[in-house]
Amino acid sequence: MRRLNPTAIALLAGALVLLLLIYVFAGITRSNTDKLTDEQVAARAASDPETRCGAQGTYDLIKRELFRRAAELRGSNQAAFNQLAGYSVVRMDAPMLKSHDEDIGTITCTGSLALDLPPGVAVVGGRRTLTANVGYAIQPAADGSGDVLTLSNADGVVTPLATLARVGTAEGDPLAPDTPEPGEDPLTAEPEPIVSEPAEPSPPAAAPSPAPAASANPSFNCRLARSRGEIAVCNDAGLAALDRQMASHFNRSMSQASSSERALLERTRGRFIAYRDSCRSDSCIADAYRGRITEIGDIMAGRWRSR
Amino acid sequence: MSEEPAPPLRDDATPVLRTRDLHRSFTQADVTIEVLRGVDIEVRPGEIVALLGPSGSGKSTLLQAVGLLEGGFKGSIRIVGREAAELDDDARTELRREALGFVYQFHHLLPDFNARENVMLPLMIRGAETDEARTRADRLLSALGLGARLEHRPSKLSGGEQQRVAVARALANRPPLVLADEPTGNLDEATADIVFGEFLNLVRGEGSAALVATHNERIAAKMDRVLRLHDGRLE
Repeated sequence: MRRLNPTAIALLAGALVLLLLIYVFAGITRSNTDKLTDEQVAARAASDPETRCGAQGTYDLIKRELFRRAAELRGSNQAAFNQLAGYSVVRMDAPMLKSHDEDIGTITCTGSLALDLPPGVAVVGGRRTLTANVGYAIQPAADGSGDVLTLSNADGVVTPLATLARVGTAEGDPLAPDTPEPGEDPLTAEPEPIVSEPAEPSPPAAAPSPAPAASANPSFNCRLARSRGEIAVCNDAGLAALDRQMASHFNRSMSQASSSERALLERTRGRFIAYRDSCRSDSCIADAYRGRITEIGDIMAGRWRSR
Repeated sequence: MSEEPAPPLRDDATPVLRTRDLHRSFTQADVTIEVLRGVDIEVRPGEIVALLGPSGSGKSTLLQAVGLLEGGFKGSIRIVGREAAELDDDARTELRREALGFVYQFHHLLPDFNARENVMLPLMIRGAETDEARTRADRLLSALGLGARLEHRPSKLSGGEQQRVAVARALANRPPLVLADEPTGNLDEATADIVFGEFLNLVRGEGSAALVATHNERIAAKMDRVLRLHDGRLE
């Protein structure tokens, strides 16, 4: 039998190794075509409704809204509260998706919120952590400027947050570098007292003061309107009137409701807002308001049934 | 020298509350219901006025209006001399915070905070120092017989005690006007009498005025004046 030439053996072995390497690299390339890029992964996570409920961006929106409402309640400088918001942390236990409208990208979620305040400030009772079981809905702004948040059942955080005060000036206090001048600090300044106007003579009974025209404004502040539904309501006096009517009905019911009715009124609120904001026409929004008014009445009369 | 009689309420004193031709209607399923039909009210400083009427007569709607809690009204509302219709949202919030106290049928206390802290909340929101707020809260709660319950959370208090805390919270900032909507409506009759008596004493002691909605004639008779609301009109 003829013996193989060592050179031929080496050439054969080299060819085999080369084939193997080609196979391995080709396989890697094929597998990479099945994988998402980092950008694709991020985009998919951002659009996943479950993920959006627990996304950091959502928590940042919630935090800003909590501090905005607290500043409004306090009647204080929004900038000081914004500054503190930057040093505070929102955590959410068990964020849960309750509903998702794929057409307009609205999600409605619930969760157990905890707001941790930075060192150097505290609320009534010296607390630095506030908690509440909240509902929240996220919807893309009609003008494409980002997401719009609707937050409900947050009074347990907002009201005490409005009592925010400094509790010391420890070194490293995050507020220290930008501490305003005395008298300008919105967290320590005394509010101006209400000064009564001089007494006016009562008008004669036969000629009462003329009633001013009814306001065309809805129950919320149109300067802050961003969702499709809010903008539509702010642009239509009839819808604004329906909004005021619904808000009046809601507030009155909340003041008279049992705890279970209050919880139900809160729970159904997010769904109504999500529905209203999904409307493409004013008549749809009007129907949403009428339905909500009926729903509130049903809740208070014990007739409400989950649909 | 004969003793001077106590001076009457000055006729020219600025009312803490004055409404003129107040209207409110609701439309539902194309049916419009007029809840308030031109209501004129005046409450003078220190005066405690009952707003008496059956359920559905418009009492709560009227309190919502004068409490600046909602819009949609026609007519004039002046609180401590300021015309509500002329105020923007911020000024309206400020007026509500500075001039009004609220007591509802249900206490609406924050469950995570104890009695003292619940009363301190409105004081600190107005900018009071912690020590000042604590002193004031303790004084009010003690006056209502809750001196030993200061650190109890609402869930550890009885219904009457919860409502006393709500009364103390409403009076914490010494508002010129307290608005109360069936403040003892959630309590049994005996407890309601006691709590309402304490409410009246505290309001008088603090020099505030009050407008109290009730459907109870017996409760109404304890106040300085009774306004009867029927079908959206004062009788």
